[in-house]
Amino acid sequence: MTMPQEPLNFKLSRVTPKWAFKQSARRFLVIAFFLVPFVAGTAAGYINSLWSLLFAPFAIVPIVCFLWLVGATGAGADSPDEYLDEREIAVRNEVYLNAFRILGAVIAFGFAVFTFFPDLPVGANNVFATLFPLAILLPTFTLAWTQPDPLEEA
Amino acid sequence: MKATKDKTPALAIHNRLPVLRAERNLSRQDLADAVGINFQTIGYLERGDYNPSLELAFKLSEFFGLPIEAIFSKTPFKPLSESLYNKGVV
Repeated sequence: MTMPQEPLNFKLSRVTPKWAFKQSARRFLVIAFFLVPFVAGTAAGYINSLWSLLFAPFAIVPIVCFLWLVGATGAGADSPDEYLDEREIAVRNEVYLNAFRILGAVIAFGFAVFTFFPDLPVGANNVFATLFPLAILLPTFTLAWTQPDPLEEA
Repeated sequence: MKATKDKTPALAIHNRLPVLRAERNLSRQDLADAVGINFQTIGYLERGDYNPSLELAFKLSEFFGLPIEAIFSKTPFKPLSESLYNKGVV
């Protein structure tokens, strides 16, 4: 089978640490993606001085987590058909379906919150700024969360 | 297909892929390269976690030079040695 030139996200598999390929490690990275910026941001908000800049390096954690997750899943959530076999295509389509459902649930939750608490100091821009990247990242998170450990022996 | 939640497909299809691969001294990667799939998918097939499409079943059949029913079955295969002994080959 002739493969087109290797895309960038496939190369991430080679620079992703081996431990990140385990399902438990992938789940840890998904949790870290959300938790680390939340905790660091909250802590920085409480300090509310120049010292809060100490938390700035934590902003890179979610980026590293996501890049490792793409590498650890072999970019299976975002690859076109020609790079995947029939099982991988079926898995990719399934994670997109699940990611769509999760996104729908998040939007419904947000809608309920804004309905019952209309005076929340959260602008519409912030909501879109959260939902837009979430829509793009969720398929990779869903795949990373559900895909079993890979076979060690080829 | 229940590929990620429930690993077992709805219809269990048994196969002789591990035996055929071992007989020919092939790694999963060798077999995967021969039929144009990821070697992880060979593992899924061997464990019965994934049922192949008709196209993939034909590719495997052609590669091994065996009819599809010699590789895949809806009922568990008898051990090859037992099948040969009952036919008087051994």
